[in-house]
Amino acid sequence: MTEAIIVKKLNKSYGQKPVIKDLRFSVFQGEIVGLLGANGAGKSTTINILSTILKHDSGSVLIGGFDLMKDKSKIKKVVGIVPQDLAIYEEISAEKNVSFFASLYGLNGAGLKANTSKALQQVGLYEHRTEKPKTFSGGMKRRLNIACAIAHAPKLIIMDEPTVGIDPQSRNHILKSILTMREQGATILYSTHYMEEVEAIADRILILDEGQIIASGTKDELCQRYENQITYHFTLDRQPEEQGIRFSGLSMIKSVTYEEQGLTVTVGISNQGLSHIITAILSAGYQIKSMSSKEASLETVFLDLTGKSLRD
Amino acid sequence: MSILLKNNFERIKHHKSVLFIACIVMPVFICAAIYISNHSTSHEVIAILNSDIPADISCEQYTLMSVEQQPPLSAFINGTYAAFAKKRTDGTYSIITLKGKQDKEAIQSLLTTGRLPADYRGDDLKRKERGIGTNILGFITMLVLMQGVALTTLYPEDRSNGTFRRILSAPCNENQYLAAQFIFTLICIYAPTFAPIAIIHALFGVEIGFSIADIAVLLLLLTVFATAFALFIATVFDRNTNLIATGISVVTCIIAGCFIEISTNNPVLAAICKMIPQTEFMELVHGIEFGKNYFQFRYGIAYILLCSLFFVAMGISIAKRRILEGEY
Amino acid sequence: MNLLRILRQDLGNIIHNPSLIFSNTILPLILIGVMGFVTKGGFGTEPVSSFDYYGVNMMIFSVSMIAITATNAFMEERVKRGNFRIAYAPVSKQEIYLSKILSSYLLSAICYGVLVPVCQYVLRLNMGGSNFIYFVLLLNVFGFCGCCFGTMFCCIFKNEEQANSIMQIPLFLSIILGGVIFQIHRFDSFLNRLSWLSPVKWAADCSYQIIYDNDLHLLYPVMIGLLVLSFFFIGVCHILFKPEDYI
Repeated sequence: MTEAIIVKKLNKSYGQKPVIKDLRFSVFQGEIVGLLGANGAGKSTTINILSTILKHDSGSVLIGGFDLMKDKSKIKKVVGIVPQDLAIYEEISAEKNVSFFASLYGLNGAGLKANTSKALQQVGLYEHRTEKPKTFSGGMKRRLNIACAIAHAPKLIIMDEPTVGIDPQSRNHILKSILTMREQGATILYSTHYMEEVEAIADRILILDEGQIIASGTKDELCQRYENQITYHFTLDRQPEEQGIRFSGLSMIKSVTYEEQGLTVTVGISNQGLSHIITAILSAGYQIKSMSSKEASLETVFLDLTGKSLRD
Repeated sequence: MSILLKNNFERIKHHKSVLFIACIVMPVFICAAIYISNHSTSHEVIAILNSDIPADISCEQYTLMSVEQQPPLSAFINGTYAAFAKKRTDGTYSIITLKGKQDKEAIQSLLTTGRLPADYRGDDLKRKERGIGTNILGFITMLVLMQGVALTTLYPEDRSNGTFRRILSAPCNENQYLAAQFIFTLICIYAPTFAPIAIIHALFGVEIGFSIADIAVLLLLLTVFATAFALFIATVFDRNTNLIATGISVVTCIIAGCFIEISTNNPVLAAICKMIPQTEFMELVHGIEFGKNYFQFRYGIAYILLCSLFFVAMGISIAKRRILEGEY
Repeated sequence: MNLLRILRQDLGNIIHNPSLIFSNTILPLILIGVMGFVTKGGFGTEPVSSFDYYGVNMMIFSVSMIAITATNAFMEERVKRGNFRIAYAPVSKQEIYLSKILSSYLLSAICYGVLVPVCQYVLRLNMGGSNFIYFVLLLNVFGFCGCCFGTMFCCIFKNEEQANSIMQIPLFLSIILGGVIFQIHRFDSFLNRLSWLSPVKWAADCSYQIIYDNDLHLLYPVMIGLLVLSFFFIGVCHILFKPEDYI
């Protein structure tokens, strides 16, 4: 498979603060790659570097075979960027918005018209093409934001959190459009912190934390690392005390979280130990009102890799 | 409301350009206005061809200068010369000037009789009679009106980033919010306008035409009106408020006679002038500078306050309507 | 080619902003009318009426204010994000800021290219008679300089509110020193010397010569001076404008 993006030893600092540290990853042609990361992980900085807007300090980036340092304009021609902000003109029609941005990529005449219509159809806004975005709902604006990035039929589409703050219908539509784009041959780098979106569309996932890729692979590959892990949640008759329940002898337990009306226990070897945990709870004098179990998900993986503490 | 007020002061710290204008540029402009108003200008010059200057001329309003040829018209436009006179064979002068008929006749009289008519008042004399204080406050009126809109910046900002809705969803209504904006803008205009005038007058003894107490009262009246106007503009217009406020302020201040005295025989223009609150303000300022008391201007003061109240009431009602319509 | 496309879009954005159109079309006429009317008593009818006098001066004043149109075309809240999205497309950074300069310049060229002959032939104000074309030419160059000035402030402050607020200081100082609101010739010599730093003063003096003296001596030096100043402003734009500052 040919790489659409190759990033090697990429570094970027803002003043003294390093934001991207020795970043390395590749995106192959025809893939949808989800770039997952908490706020401040460096997703937007990475995307801004890939979109040629932001200069990196060191490292190399190849996009579509072009060197980011030498062939900026060639790269721009093959890339479509969906910025996080709604970067559209509110006062002109949806069609004119798409047509204007597409024309900057060299499209004109019948080709421009056809591509504009196609892009609007793809995001489900063709019926509203003559309307001004100021009359649009948030979801429609988001879809127009995408249409402006795809009308010039880019080979690589980079999306920076394109579904922030929209309804499930619009989100669903956007995700379906992305899959269609991939079917049509586009490569997509999709940055978000919504796990379910990545699970739904991404062929491969990159988890970015503190400016570095800390894990990568398909969803199954990532979850596989945790396939022998299961999380039990117990609702008890009262608030448990940490000292009250004796889990110390149970080696399969990876973590215990005490909550107001219960506790969550993650164990390393599935099922083996459930009876021991229940015994430990009951012998401490608590009654179990209900119990549920959850196998490893992308969210579990993400939280486990990046930690559960809040980010600034 | 005090929380909102405190929040506004906290936020305005980060609007450095607004603070810079309010706290540095405004005082500098006010000082410049005081300097220019106090600074005497050189006399207007009448150019006379070939040293035909009558010997027995006595005039404090014009300087006579001999020239060898008629100055270009542009020299009248830029103010180098007020008039050009050329002696005719019959002893009278042909006069070229941009000034009106009355001035032209006065210059003719000056050159032929050696004196200006007794009742003649040239531009400089008119300006002097207007009073230093009136000239200063006239200029400041426009600055304050423009500055008011700039200082209301937090209100449109709250609307565009959704914090207005958020504040109103807390136990706080639009009246309280706008009252806080009003007090905030009032303080932010009043303090940097009053302080430099007071300091210049108190420390350097510069003539400002009024006592400090009078300046304090007059500026308060002006800033109340400017604040109400600013709130109204900021409510009615969503964008380009600075540009709109500048346009309205410049035009209304000119018509109201804030820069130069306006006297017109046209009843329509006179009525329009009278409707503008700045006109009443300039009449009040002029009256106070020349020794009249506030009571004599009670209707004018009431009119300015009523206009302010109207602007605030309109601002509140428009804001309420837009909230109900879900625009904010 | 892209420059033309962006330019067309920028002009569209300006046309969709009624305040900017108003301030470059109706407002100059209102200012001429108001100033001419209220100062009518101080002027004769010959050789120059108050309307003639303020016709020229308010025209220069209004063209000076084109700098505000330029900052709005660049960074007004409703167009700012769209404008900076252009940076993702294969366009050079100079195409981005030059399009803002050129779009606001074109607006001024069109508006004042129409307003001056309207004042001359319809309203019968003295705009130089057959020389009005030179006055229009001068206003064109002066307007271009104003657009470069406004755009430069956007590149320095990266925010319309700050750019407009700070820019108003040198703008109003230049206008006052230019003597287009009131004559400053008779103020002390320091103020007079200072006034020569004001491009508004250059434009005003040159206009007076063209219109009232039928003298074109100052036209080329002033135009060259304004163009040199414009290129200096563009140079500052080029150095300071970095698209990454706006994303």
